[in-house]
Amino acid sequence: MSADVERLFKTYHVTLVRYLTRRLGDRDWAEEVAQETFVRALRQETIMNERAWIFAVATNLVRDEARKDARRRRHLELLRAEAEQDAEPEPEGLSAERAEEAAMARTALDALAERDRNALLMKEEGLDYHEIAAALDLSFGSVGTTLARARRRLAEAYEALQREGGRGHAAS
Amino acid sequence: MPPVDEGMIHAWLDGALSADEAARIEALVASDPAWSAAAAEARGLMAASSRILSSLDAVPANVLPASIPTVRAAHEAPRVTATPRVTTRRWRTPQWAAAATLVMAVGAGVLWRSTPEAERPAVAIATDASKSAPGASVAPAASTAPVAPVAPATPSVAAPAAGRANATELAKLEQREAPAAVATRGTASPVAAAPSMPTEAIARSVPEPAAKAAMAEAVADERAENAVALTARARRTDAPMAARAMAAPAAAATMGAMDAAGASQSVRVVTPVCWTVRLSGWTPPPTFVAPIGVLLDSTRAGSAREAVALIGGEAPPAAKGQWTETADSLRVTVDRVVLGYTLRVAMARSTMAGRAALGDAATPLKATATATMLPSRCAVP
Repeated sequence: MSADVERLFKTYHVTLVRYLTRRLGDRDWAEEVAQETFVRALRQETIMNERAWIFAVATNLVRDEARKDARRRRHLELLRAEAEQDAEPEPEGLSAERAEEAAMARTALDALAERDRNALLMKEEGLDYHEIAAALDLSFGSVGTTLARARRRLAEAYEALQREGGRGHAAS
Repeated sequence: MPPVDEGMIHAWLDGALSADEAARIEALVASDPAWSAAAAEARGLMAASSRILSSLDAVPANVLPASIPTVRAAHEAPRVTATPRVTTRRWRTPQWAAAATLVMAVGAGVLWRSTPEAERPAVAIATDASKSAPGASVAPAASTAPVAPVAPATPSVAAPAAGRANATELAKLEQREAPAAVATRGTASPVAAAPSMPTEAIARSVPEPAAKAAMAEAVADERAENAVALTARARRTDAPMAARAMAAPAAAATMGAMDAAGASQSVRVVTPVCWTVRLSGWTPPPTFVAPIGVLLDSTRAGSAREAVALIGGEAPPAAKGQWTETADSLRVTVDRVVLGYTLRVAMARSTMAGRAALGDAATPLKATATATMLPSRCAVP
């Protein structure tokens, strides 16, 4: 199974970490969850529909709120310390703009229902409808509806945040 | 079949529907403006979602190179095609006996690889007026002038200088891209008119600094210097490889002083290289003996120069090439990879032994010329 896990790691690690990073907003945490996912794959004798299984396990790990909160605090502290030491100076305007966009995207994504959010993030990582349905325990026919709803709400929430930001800038 | 809804539209756009379902949705979207609008909206939502989510990805600082324009410029170095600018001026020099000294400044900077002599291809110079290859035309001479005697009997052959291997970036590039042909350098006999080679755009301009730096690889040849007033100097121009000689006093005909405006061109060529220099309208008089030199040279102080081809009408050709000249053209095959160079071809009406060079003449040179060099692949005879 170790050889299979190595293959799984090479095949899915990048997309899984990106999925988790988008989902969690913390690259280190995402890496850790991904590692844990592959560790669990190592313990698994057989895996059917491997991509769906990996994303489902990772998604379930994210749901561990207690673990998430504790590690988030710890990682935030580490990230803050690293940022102070190693941060490359970036043009202030560009950095601020990126940070604002990321913050709005994070807020908009967090506004989605858990299932919608996960379905959308999985689709962005290339999972097909069957895999999303398997990972999130959805019917195949409902994946399209879930994605349509998630996309619309994400865009609407983001636009609303942009309008608020515009008003804020205008007011200031 | 399930009723069409927004979810099915997304599934259709995501390619998740069966063929039958996809055909149904496609027909619906094509026939119903409302569903067509829904499909368009769905596409927009999909694109917007992807863009929003991508902003969550960490983007490290300074991802983009600081000097994109520089990099881009380096990769988009202008290519100089060999399409010549043809002019058809004729010599106005009244008589060769008086002062038929033609100095054609052709060229570019000297860059050639430091190939061992034994590995160098032969040089061939040939003239074939009948081919009428588009090329240089000779500018009218301002007036006749005493001819500076040229020693034709023992045409100079440049001896390789020890310090030729000044590697430059350009030279390195050339070494990668254009391996030297294998041939023996040395005395070459005049060849019967070599077949006219089609010109090809195989030259490319290179930055002047690189060309100049590599020009330091030129090899000194005192005899060549004395035999003909040849100057090589690298200078980049955006013009085609047209060379224009200029009227210049004899004192100015010394090396480095005859560089004609617009005459120099740094080029990269693939060896072997034929150069056709057309001397339009030139009809050598019966008594004409024509020491002609083609010199790869560097005008940098203290640098050496190397004759590529020197020939005297009464003497076997020297240097590393062959050439013939008949009416109005001269073909040169450079015996090495030439990255950039300047050629100056000097022709004198008369010859005399000695070290007198055109540049030593007391009387100003009057001949000027405009030439266009046509680089092309060619077979070495």
